Amino acid sequence: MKSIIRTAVAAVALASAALIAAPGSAQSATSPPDPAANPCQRACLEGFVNRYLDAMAAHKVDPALFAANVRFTENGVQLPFGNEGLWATASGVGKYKFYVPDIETQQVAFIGTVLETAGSSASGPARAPDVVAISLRLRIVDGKITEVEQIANRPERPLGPAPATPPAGGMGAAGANIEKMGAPHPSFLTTIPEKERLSRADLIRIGNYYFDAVERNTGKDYYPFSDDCLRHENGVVTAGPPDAQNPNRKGCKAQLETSLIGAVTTIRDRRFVAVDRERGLVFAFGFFDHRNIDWTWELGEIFKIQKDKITRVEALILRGPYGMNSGWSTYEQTRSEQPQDIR
Amino acid sequence: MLRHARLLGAAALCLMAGGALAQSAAQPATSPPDPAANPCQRACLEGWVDKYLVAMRDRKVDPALFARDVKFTENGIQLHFGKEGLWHGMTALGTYKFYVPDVETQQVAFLGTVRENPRGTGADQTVAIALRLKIVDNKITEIEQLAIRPDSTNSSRNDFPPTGEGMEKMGAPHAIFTQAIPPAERETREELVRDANYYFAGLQRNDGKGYYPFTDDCIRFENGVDVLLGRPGTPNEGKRQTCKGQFETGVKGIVSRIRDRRFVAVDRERGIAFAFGFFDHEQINWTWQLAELFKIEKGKIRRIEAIFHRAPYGLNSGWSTFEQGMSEEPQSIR
Repeated sequence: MKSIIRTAVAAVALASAALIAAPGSAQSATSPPDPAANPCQRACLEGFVNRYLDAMAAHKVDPALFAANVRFTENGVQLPFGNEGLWATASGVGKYKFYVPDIETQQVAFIGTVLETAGSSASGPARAPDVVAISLRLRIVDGKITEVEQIANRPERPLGPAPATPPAGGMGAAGANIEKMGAPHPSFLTTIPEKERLSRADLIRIGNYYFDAVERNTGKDYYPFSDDCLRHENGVVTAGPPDAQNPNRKGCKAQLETSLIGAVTTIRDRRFVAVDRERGLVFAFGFFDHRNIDWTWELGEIFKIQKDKITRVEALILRGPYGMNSGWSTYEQTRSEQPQDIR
Repeated sequence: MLRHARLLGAAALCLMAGGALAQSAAQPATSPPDPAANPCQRACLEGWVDKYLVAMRDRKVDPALFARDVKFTENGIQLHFGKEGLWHGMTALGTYKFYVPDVETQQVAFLGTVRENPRGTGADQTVAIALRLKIVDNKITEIEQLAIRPDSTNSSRNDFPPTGEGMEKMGAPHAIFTQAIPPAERETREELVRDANYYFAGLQRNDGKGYYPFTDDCIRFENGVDVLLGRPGTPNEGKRQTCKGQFETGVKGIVSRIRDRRFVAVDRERGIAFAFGFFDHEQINWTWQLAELFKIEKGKIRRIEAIFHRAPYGLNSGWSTFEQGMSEEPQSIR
């Protein structure tokens, strides 16, 4: 029964992705982007991330960089832009930088780190800076940032002088962990030969297979992972082929075949916000609900896809209130398990 | 200068509340509610809470009880009604019950406890809830609830028990809450909202010199704890700070903003106003999501009871626009 449902869902998902991605899929996979229609190229889009992070650390909303009506969310909550959330407390830019530029839609997604200097209590002295991991999406229109969507994975800080501790979930502090990784794994950054590049719709479809597989997993679903697939969550390897140091580790496919069965009850609001066809990367925001424990993971996740298979996954995950919304979706979208191509 | 601005702000609040409640203000304070216009009276409204809790425990969405398009939020998040949040894991009723019926608006608010066992294994846990139900044409059309679970961060101190546990230890609402106000002394709806809102206006960006209309014997309960009473083993053991004294000497500059102040039930007979709201602490990225009720006598706050937990910074109630969610103005929810 599950496989029938899964097949039906996958079929709907495919149709849906194909429909919403029609303009992208109509373009042949090898045609170059049109610079006139898409003025900001890879380095330019990545530059917007750098300028954004510098602006946040300096608490400076420069009208040359930001549209007057820029919309801003942090951790799924819309906030006034420029002085709340990380904009109130960021004090520097970190070292880890993983950009996913989307030339076609003029958006850029990012996983990285920033420094945050928060108070030790509401009126207490400042704490020492913490490394905070962030997932980020920027939209660029007419040379300015119009949309800012970020998830900030902070260490859990007590009120008062006690040191911060890792947040709930048992994976340690995401910021410190990914800072230790240094840089994105080189396999993420390899260029896909032009003839092998998948269309935007195909990349979203295959990235979405991961969500389909984890959601209500039975152990017998469709798991299109390469044998060497490795997954990081909050800077920790949570699936990967066994090696000398980790003889009992399970690969991306084996893990789902033998565990995580029935764990995630729903994966909702699957917003594919950046596709990098040149490198075969897709970046999605989404929510993993665990109804039995009233637990929702709010996450940003990157998939490397080569020849129809997911070869590497990197995610930042943060606990949110059960059923949390992205702040960018209608109620119906946020409850939906269908992939959304955010353009 | 700042204080002057705040007073102006307070005046604006009164004006706004007065405007929004003009229809109600036209009715003399002592006139009885019209049963034809307001079919559900106090006991009837309280009965809706009891029926709701039983339905949630039994996971039974009876179309005789609920409108087809009932809107449901838990902890500020809209969820599918009937199978998520507490509707998934509730196992039994709790023992603490504090009803705030609003005959005029046909809403009823509630602070209480339930049992939950979301995994279906191990022992039940006691969960504190704050609740608002709206009744239209004899059916529940809106459900707004906070579920404060034992693993919620419910205090900046580590000597607070889990909220549900603390509330059940209190046994029942303090007797002063349930005393009727003499009819001649009953405040209007807008006066009760205005007076309760002075608490939020006083605490937000407090400088110790604000307007603090508390009685001398005012007591505040937070998450089942008499928070102004010195804790055992401390130098102040057994001594209780006054509500006003705490505002004048402590809690200065702590809460940077109190927003989305939704007054969802007013009980004129007992002088009680019940609000949902959010306390932001900008420098520590910390928001308390709370339900708070105020007992008001002759323009002064005499008792306060609140339950709250930590929420993502800036969270919205799930019932407000972005502008309302960020506003510091009181909203009279009708």
